[in-house]
Amino acid sequence: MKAIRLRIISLTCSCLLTAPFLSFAQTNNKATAAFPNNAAIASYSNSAALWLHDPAFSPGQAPGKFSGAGETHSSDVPALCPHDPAFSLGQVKGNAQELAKPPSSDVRALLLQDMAFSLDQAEASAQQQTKPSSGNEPSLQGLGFPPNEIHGSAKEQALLNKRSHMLQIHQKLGLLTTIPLLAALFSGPGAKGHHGLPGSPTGRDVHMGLGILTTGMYAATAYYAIRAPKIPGTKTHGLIRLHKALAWIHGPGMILTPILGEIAYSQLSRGERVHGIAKYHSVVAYTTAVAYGAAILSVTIK
Amino acid sequence: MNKKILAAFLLLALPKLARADSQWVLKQSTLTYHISHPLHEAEGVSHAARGKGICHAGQCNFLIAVPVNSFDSGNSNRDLHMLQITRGAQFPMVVVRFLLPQAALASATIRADLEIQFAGQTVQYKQIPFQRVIKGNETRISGTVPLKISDFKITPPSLLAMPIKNEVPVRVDSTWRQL
Repeated sequence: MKAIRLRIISLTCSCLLTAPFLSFAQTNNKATAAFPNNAAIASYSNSAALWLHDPAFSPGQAPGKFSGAGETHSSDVPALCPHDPAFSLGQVKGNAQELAKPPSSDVRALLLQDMAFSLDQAEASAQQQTKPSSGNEPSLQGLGFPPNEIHGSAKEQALLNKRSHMLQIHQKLGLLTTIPLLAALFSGPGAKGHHGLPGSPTGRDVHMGLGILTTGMYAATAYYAIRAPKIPGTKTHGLIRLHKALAWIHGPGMILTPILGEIAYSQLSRGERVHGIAKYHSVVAYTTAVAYGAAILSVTIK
Repeated sequence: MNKKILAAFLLLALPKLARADSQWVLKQSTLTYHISHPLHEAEGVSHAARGKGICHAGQCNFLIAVPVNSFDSGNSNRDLHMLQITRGAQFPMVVVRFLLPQAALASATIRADLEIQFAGQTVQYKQIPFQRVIKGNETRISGTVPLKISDFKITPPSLLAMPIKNEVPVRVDSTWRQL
């Protein structure tokens, strides 16, 4: 009887001491143990989206599969997967049952009862040790970030994508607008004439055509900038503030220039000299062009 | 007899109880990315990283995370564009994990295999050197991660039809405290 009790005690002690070590050894293997979301991870490129929305999933425990160029950087990844405690404890259970066979039925029942109680305790302890993100591995949730910072939003991403798309069109149109703008500037003297003599009708027509083209392209450029979605909570800072501020100069200038140009055109067509407010057409045009060029440079150089 | 068994049990259990488990927490950090374009260079800085390290049974498990929108390059338009191309609204965090032997923390140069999750991709960077300097009960760790945007399937932004360089090194300067 004493010998049996001694065996029970020593067996229990060995279970308690060795179970944690067994679990630790198995976590360092490249085992793709059963994992809750394993089947859902079809492509690893989306794994972050999945784990961001599932607090139970910890990215460090994903199977060692990486997409694209990442594979060239990866080798044997120590999979931090929880092991299956049933494996090691099943062996122990089997051994315990073998030990319990020889004595009488009453003693056997007593032994099995004791063993079951001890093994239950050992199993609970092992599961505690191998629970993901328990004490041995830090978790993202444990760092203290608010949930809205951890979880992404496809809706916000779509808004950002739309904003970027529209601003890229704004950028391209803005650069293309410089072509007719510069052409209109160079064709201006041909429309105005020199030393009191009026310019040729052809010169005036070309200048007017380029001016209209410039105004139209400028309007399209401005449209994409104004209509691009604003991101709430964003404070404007940096040279983009200068870019936006310069719009208050070249914007009104681009409205005023064609108006003054139309008045000047009419006067010249009637054989009159340009006079009154129309004589400021060229000044306004040049000021507008300089502000426009500065706006481009402000987002190009730095 | 029972006392002897109990004594033997305690002798076996004590070494396990006395193993040197320790925890580290990131006290402060500065992460700086650097982008290069033919027309200009730019840097974005973040001080919002948080991290933890747990040492158990001779192995230390570290986790550092930083929100993508915490990087400030001095130009809000550039920051928003960066957020868009890195899919920062959908994957808001950059997460870095690495395992180190506890003994490695004692050396002046630490070489770590980093697992970086960023823009919905996970990439490993092996043997990244970090310098360690101890100041009182704090440890300062600094180094540069040779990040490449193509590794994370990010389309390089361009200006005037010229894209930025693929290499975007990230300078890490962190101070850790042992709990």
